[in-house]
This record gives sequence, C-alpha cells and structure tokens, in this order.
Amino acid sequence: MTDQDHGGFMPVPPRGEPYANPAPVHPPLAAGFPAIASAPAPLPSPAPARKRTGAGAWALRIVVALAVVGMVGLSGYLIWVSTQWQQQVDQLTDINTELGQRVADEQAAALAARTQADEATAQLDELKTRVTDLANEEANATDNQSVLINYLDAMVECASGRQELINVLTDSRLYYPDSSPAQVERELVTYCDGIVGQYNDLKQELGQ
Amino acid sequence: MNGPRAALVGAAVTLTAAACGVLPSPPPPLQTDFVPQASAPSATVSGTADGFSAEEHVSVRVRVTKCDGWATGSGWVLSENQVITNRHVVADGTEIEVTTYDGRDYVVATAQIAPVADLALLTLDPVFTEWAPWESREPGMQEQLSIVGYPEGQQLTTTPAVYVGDTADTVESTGEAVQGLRAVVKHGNSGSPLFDASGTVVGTVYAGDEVGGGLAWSNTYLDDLLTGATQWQPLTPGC
Repeated sequence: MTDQDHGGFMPVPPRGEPYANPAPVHPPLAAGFPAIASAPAPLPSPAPARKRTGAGAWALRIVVALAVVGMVGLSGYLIWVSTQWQQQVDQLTDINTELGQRVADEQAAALAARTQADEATAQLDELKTRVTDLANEEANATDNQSVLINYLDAMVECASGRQELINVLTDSRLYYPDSSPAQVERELVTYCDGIVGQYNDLKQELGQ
Repeated sequence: MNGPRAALVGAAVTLTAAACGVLPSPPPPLQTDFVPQASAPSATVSGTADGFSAEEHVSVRVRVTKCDGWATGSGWVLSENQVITNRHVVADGTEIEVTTYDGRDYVVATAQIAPVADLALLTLDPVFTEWAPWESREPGMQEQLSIVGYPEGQQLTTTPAVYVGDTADTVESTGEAVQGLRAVVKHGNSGSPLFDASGTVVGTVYAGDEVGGGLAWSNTYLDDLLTGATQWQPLTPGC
C-alpha cells in the first residue's frame, strides 16, 4: 500500500500535523463507460458504526444483567409472598378446624338441651293432665259430698217426721192442727220413698 | 439494528413496570376473632311455667248447690275477687263455690245477676292473682276463637270456636243480639269465657245446640253492667 493507493484510508500524519486533504481517488473506469467527473460515488464510513455497536452490546449486557437481577429479586419476593400466604392458609385451616369442633360441640349440647326440653315438656304435660284429673276428681267428690249431705238432711227430716208421727199416734194429747195422722203418714211415705229412690239412683250413677 | 433493540429494551422495561402493578401482595394479618357477637335468644315459653295456659288459669268451675240438688257451670275471673258466669247457672243457688284449674275451692260471698243478659257477677274474697283481659268488641267474621270451660262438670277443656255473626237471642227470648258461634258447647260450658287468639275475653258462652252451634253474650252487656249503665240485681235463692 502506497500513498497513492491506500485503499481509501488516509495516512496518519505525525503528531501535531493536521490531516491533509486528500485528492479524490477514483477507480479506473471500465471501457465504454463515460467518465463522470463531477459526481463521484460516496464511500461508506464504517468507523462510527463500530463505535455504536460496542456501546449497544454493553447496554444490552447491562439490561440483561439488570433483568436477571430483577428476576432473581422478583422470584425471591414471590417465594416470600407464597410462604406468607401458605402460613396464613395453615393458620386459617387450624382456626377452621377449631371452629368446626366448637360448632360440633355446640350442636351436640343444643341437641342434648332440646332432648331434655322435650322430656321436660312431656313430663309437664303429664303432670298437667294429672293435676287436671285430680282437680276434676276432687270437684266431683265435692259435688257428690254436697248431694250426699242433701240426701242426709232429707233423710234426717224424714226420720224426724216419722218420729213425730209416732209421737202423735202414741200420745193422745198430741195432734196435727191442720192435718190428720193418716194424711201426714201418706205425705211422709211419698217424701221418704222419693228420697230413697233418688239416693239409689245416685248410687247406681256412681257405680256402687 | 438500533431501532429494534431499543424497542425490545423499552418493551422489557414497560412489561416489568406493568408487572410490578400486578405483583401479589402478602396476606394481611389475620383478625383475632372469627366468632361474631350474638345475643342469646330470649326463651319463649308458650303458656305459663306450670304447663297451663293463661286462659286456663282464669277459667273456673262453678258449683251451685240448689234446693233440689246441685248444678255446675263455668266462669272466668274478672278481678282479684270477681267471677263472671251465667245467670241461669247460679239461679236458685243456696251456696256457690268456684274451683280453679288446680283444684282450689273458694266460696262465693255474694252473687248478682243481670236483668237482661244471661250474666252473673260472683264476689268473693280477693283470692285470685290472675284475671282475664277483656274487650267490648265484636269478633271478625270467621275469626278463630276458643272456649275454655268445664263441659259436663268434668275436666278443664279448651274447645275451638268460630264466630259466624250476630244473631237474636232465642234461648232467653230477649231478642237481644248475641254472638253466634260454630262450636261444640255442652252442659257445663255455660259461663265459659270466649277467648280470641290473643287471650282476650270477647264474650261469655251461655248456650249450645246439638248440631255444633253456640251462643255467647257480647262484653258490651258486661261493660254496661260494670259501668253502671245497667244495674245488677241481687240473686234470690229459690228456697
């Protein structure tokens, strides 16, 4: 490579000297082509492209490294969050189990209480029926007692009337001012027979 | 090459930033108590503590000793010393007693009867601790009622009744308007209180027939008697 043929590169001048403005170099024209002196074809300049490629690679490396670090951090965070949730799930499961046990205990207690209440209600109904029956028996007994006292009073009256009749018949000084002994006797028989009849009816009614 | 890389990096950054917004957060701290506060349900006991209803507590059996025997009827406690029953139950009575649902007997001191309605007011010592609420109102048509009394002088019995409208009194031949019932009313039910669903007395039963009909005096008559609009009359024994 000479100074005239340096492939497009400029020779590096000594330190402190500026680059010379090189004369344009053209490749030889092919035969048959007209020369175009005023419009030479521009050459590509690769030097700036090489500089950008290197920076981009570093940037990419940095981005990838940051992404890796971010992914590692994110993974760690997600693992921590997952662990927290898992722990809370375990706690809730324990609480749920405890509450379920409490519910079961309460249901068993409620069932037992309901059973006891049913038994108490049945006993109360039985006692109520018993009280009602006893009150009724007592009332009927009192009714019968009242009736028996009435019959007893009537029979005492009957006996007194007969005793009075006997006295009249046996003592000539005694007499009935408004009636005769025969009339009184007929009335007494009717009265006393009626009392006895009613008394027998009552006994039959009472099953005695 | 530069454009696609920048777009790729931009997209990655954007996605990362967006992903931060949807990252799951850790669970909040658990609450300390999962059992809510609940008030204990009130114990609703139907009836009373002894198993008898309030209506049964204030319904009494009336025993009347007469010259030629005795009779039984029913009644209801108006106050601590007063009982309402029918006039025909106590008619010709020489001695009157009332018996409560639990068998306690009390002797009636005085008896008064109404001049028109078949009602009687019995007065005795203040022995009752419960008495019946009552109202002067006509029941609604087909209203469900109940009669609590001692049919045929036997056990205390609650009988369902349905109000079927007012009708003229033909039993006592007064022509007064009385309450018509569809109910089985037997001897001994005379004087029974007629309760509505709330346990309030709305009438006093005094008659029944063989085909499931019953009659009761409205409390309007009782109201007139108690307020003095109509005067009670003393009961005179027949012998």
